[in-house]
Amino acid sequence: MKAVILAGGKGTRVRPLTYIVPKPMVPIIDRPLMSILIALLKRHGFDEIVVTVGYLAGKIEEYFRNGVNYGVHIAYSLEGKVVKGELVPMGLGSAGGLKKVQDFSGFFDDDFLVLCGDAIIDLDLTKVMDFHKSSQAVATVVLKEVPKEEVYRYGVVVTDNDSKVLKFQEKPKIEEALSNTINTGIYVFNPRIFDYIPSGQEFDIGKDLLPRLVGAKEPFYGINIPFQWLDIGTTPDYFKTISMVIEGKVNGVNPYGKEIKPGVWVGINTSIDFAKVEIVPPVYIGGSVKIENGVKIIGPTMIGAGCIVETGAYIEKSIIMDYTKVSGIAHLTEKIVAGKYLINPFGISLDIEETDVGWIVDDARKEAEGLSEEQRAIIELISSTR
Amino acid sequence: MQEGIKMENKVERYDDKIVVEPVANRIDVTNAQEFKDFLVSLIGQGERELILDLHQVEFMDSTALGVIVSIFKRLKEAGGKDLKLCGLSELVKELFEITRLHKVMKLFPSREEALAG
Repeated sequence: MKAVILAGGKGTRVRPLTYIVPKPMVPIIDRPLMSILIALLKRHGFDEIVVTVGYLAGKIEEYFRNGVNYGVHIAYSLEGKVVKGELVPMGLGSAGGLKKVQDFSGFFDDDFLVLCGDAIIDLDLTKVMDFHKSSQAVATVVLKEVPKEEVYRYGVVVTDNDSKVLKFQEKPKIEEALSNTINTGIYVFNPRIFDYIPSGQEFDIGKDLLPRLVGAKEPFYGINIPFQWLDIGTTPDYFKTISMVIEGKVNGVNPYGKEIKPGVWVGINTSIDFAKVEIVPPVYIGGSVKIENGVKIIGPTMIGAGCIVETGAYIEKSIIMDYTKVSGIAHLTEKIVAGKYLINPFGISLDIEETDVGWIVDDARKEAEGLSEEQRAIIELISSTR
Repeated sequence: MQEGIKMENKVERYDDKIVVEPVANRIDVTNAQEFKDFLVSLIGQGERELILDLHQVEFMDSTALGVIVSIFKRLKEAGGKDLKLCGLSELVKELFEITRLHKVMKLFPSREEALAG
């Protein structure tokens, strides 16, 4: 069966993480988000997957290639052009991107699934496909109930008692929302939808295509079955999701490592004396990590591969990405450290280079630099009060 | 050398307390020394209770933090009360937290709370 993963967006609400990787590649502990979707698709018999890409496309393409390591066939539909040596994304919108694929190769010859590449799901895709085929609809949208106060983030959907879609509201105000059932951005389409999508222009599924289908009175249904849906739309969403994975609360996604004690997973080739480091689970520690004596780590926390954590450091409820050095003076509570960014769960970020705090957190692969007079003064003051 | 942002500081007295409000949205390596010199001169003039109202300062780097630490120490050595800070932006709060300075220095959300604290 065939599927599409929409993976071309810029992920602006997850910046600065998405300055480094596109959203489908954000690490979920030890693997990119999209790998979880590929595994789910494969489990349900989807073995031909086109991925629409644009922003930082190379990061996705270089990692997944043609799907040989995943037991599926993957190909990419690039929405962008190289201008003066740089790939410039030129998105066509979710529906415009599907049309581009169809115009190119006529790829879609039967009902097909469409997923967004930025949410972790454990949806029973087989049930969704069966529902769609039995209804002989032109489209099926997967629905979910959310708390009323969150409807403003999504497309609200109203269905009748036979699950036929009657109306949409795109990101309504809470008081104007007609329901708290929302469009998850997961669809099954019949190739008939391409009669409604123009070629070569921006066209969005939610805003443009679905209202057209409703207007044309095409049979179009919603399916609302329970499933876990972790939409990584914002930095707070990402932070919450990683914490949930480490806590074992994300279905089918568990940290991969040796569970040396309940709730503490560790990779190989680590330099850690667990008798001299205080670790409060759940904590994930990647491979080739060095944690010096006298460090305190409180979960849920992830320490990525290749990290160095120096004596005295305090890390609580944080996500420390690969190859980060955390100095002994550091006190990190609810932080993400990713490359040169230190981010709090609300998305406030600090550029480590611009603020010159590389002596607190830095790239573990760099040669250590000497401390400035000001930095020494701060360390001296802190040390005298500890 | 990068031209710095000229430091202007508003000063208000509340009995024995002096509130210094830098009128700059950045204190960094380019203007931190100037800021320090100004605060040192206040201590030299006999001021012993200092509050820094940083609500206009959106950005600081570790040079600026070093200045604050230096003033904190000087005030103590001169027999003054602990330096207080208020109105910290989210970014500046993060800096204080990751360096543990939030445990050493008295930080307040507002000037009123700093004056009362």
